[in-house]
Amino acid sequence: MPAALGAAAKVAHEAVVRAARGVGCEAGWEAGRDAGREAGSMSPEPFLSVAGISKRFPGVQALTSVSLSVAPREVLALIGENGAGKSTLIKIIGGIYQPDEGEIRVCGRPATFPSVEDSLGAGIAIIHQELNLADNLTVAENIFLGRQPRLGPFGLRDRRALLRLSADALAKVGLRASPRTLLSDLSPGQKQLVEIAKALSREARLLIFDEPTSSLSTREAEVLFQRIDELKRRGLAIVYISHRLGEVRRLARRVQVLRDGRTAGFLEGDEIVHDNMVRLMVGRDISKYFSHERNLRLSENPIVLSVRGLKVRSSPHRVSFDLRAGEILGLGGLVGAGRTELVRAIFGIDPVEEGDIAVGGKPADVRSPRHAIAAGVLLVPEDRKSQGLVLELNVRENVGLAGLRCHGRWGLLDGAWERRTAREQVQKLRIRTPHLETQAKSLSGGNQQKIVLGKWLSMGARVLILDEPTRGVDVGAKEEIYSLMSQLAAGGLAILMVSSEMEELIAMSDRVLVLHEGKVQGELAGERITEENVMSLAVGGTAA
Amino acid sequence: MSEPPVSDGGRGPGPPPGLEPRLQPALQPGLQPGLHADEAVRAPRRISEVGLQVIGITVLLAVLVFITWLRNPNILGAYNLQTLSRDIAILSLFALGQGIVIIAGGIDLSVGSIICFIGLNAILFQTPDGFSWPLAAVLPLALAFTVGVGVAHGFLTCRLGLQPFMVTLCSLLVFRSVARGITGDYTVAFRKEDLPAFHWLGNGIVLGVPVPVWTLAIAAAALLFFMHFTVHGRYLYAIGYNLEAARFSGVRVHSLRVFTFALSGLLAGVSGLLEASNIQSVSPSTAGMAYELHGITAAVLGGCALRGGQGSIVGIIVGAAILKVLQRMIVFLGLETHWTDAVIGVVLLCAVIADALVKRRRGI
Repeated sequence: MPAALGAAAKVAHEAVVRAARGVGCEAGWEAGRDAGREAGSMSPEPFLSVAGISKRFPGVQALTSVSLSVAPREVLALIGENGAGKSTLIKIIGGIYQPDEGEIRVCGRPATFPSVEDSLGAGIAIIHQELNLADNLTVAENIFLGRQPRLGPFGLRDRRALLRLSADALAKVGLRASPRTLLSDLSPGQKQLVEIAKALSREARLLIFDEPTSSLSTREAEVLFQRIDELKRRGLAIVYISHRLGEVRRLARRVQVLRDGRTAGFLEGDEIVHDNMVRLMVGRDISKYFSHERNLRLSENPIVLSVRGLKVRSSPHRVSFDLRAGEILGLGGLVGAGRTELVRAIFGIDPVEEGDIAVGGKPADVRSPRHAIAAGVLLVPEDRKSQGLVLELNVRENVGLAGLRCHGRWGLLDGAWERRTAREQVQKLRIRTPHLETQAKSLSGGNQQKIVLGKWLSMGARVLILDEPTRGVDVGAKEEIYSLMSQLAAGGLAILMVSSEMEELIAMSDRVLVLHEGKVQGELAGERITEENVMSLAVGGTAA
Repeated sequence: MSEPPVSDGGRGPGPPPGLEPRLQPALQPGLQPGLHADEAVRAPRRISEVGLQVIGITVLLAVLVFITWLRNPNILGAYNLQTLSRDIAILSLFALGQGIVIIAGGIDLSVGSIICFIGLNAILFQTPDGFSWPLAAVLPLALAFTVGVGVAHGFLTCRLGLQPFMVTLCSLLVFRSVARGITGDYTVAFRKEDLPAFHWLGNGIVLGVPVPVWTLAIAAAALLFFMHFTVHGRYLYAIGYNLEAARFSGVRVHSLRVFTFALSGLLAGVSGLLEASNIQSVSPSTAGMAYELHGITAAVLGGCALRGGQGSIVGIIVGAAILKVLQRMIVFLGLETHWTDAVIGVVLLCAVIADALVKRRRGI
């Protein structure tokens, strides 16, 4: 029985491969590059087109009759809020899910992808947000994982061929690293290039990027964009999924917007501007994206958090700053500048080696998060899923997680307090959940982040530290979080915000502190908070 | 209902004024349902899952007893019920300790050796041939010792970041070997007349129920209360699921984990004393052999997931009961006892498969 199934799958697979390599599509991507250069125009024949795709999961209609097509030498950006159906669509194209309805055509010929292998065989490769690479193998071994070149009758590893082929693959993506390098020695950006090289070595002709820049620094992201441009010129079809609308503008000439499992609209050329994209994504006009008005009268407010000569283990430098009531202090800098390490130390996760922290004028000994919480310093951590929430627990239990031990006598569970608080926070923060007993992991990123916020807002906060508060959060929820931050600050809460998103940092901060390699490179306030100044300080320069 | 009714899809009364205008239109009723007050008070789904599991294994237990009873009604005879329930109680006691360690994301393999070591020394210290100490001194001393061992496990695991598997495996080896070393591998025993009080612990019957069963009843009630009605119990589940998130929420993760190991040590000590008293002898090479695996089997049968975060007190006790009933069943059905572990292995495998299938069906 399994043998028969395998044979059937193989036949289907070969049909798909034949379809992919057939007439009507350019033969290979290198050839396509030349054709593209001469013609200078897009091929009218799409490489991949899917039409009328619908997919239903228990309780949710994830996709309703969605179509998508992408041609060689084209970057199609696919955007939409979390839960709009982007990843379901991609998983159908990648052979992970099967559609309930609809058809897939590769180079004009019908195809089915019963498995990931079939999709790969047809020349479609997905670069997932979490890379499918093994840290303990070399670059070459990663590229050819599962298809190592073999030698002789015993299937010995052909190291020489492996190295030669991988060097070729690396050259195609412009990664100057030896194929012998261990993957763990590469930066996130370089790893991503290895993943692309792996796809190219499988003769992929459509690359689908799913939020590729979420773990990259600005510089690494720019390198990736250049590579994507180059791949496009060489004749690859590219689908690019991102929450970062700036990137979408930079890369794509055509944008498809999904909303609630349907196509909300397309944008082309000059229409691709921020407001249009947001409008289609959320289905309404947004007059002003960021709502925070910079507070200029802060110097009269009392200092709530005072950090003096703080030194953490990972950095030789000392950091000092003050945070006033009602102030939103932005902490800018490149990834790895020591921002997260700094806030972790202030919250008592990592030990403070030297220096003093005072909260409300009183010295605070933050040996553990417990002590920080007792002093009123609360942290919404960078990694929501592993640090912010217990995904398997439900909304009520997550909201109550921190406050529970402060209520109820003799350590008894105060269920009434927990239910009341959870309901309050769900209503106040507009956490979209079917009910309080829903597992946190089944909610979208934005709603999960609101649960983390709700957990802290149910306690007496004096200083709220937000580490990348809107990472992986969709546009609608982002806006709600911004407006909440504004409100909290207006109510006198002191907020320290670490952000790698330039727009967010500039729009939300009353004052910005830029870190560079563990030390405070400069402080910006008022009109001096500009993208140029922040960048210049972040790379170790000075502000204008 | 005391809660204010919320009927308009979660946009309840009194939202902050600044949020109101810009947030409403994004909601699509079908896909992003709001919170309804009536739904919010519905019974938690996690509990019902646990309930389902417990019901499932209780039915399995009943079926096993019934099958045996058809062939041999003696299994429900008064004497047999007493010995069976006593065996179940002794197994349940240390399985509960191990189960709670597992719920908090750890593992304790030292149990069998500790049971042997503590039973053996309890006899050595009390008998006239040994030190003739009174029970009133030996009992607290023995339990303090096992708690100390548990605390040491917890300390090495949490403070030094060692793997609990390795730490407790070392204890498993050490205590077994020391027990054999100090006795020269000879069995120690006591006579009922010499130590009547100690003998009563394992063999006494109060109101028709064996003393170990009373012990279990007290321990189970206390643990049931602790795990499901105190903040610490909730935190143990949270730690088992995601230690990091619990730490970031200000939970004393280290202290609580150390506590679970101490509890497991204590319960292993209690089981060891009861077992030694019941059998009236301890053979250092075989007493408590593979008990740690039986405990883990009972815990997993009872719904504990080895990755942590799942399990219930009642489930663990039912799991222990299934294990002991299976052992009896083999005897009562006239099979050779050599087949016992094979049957247990198959039943455990079936339980795990059934659990996986149910979870897949429910889309969890």
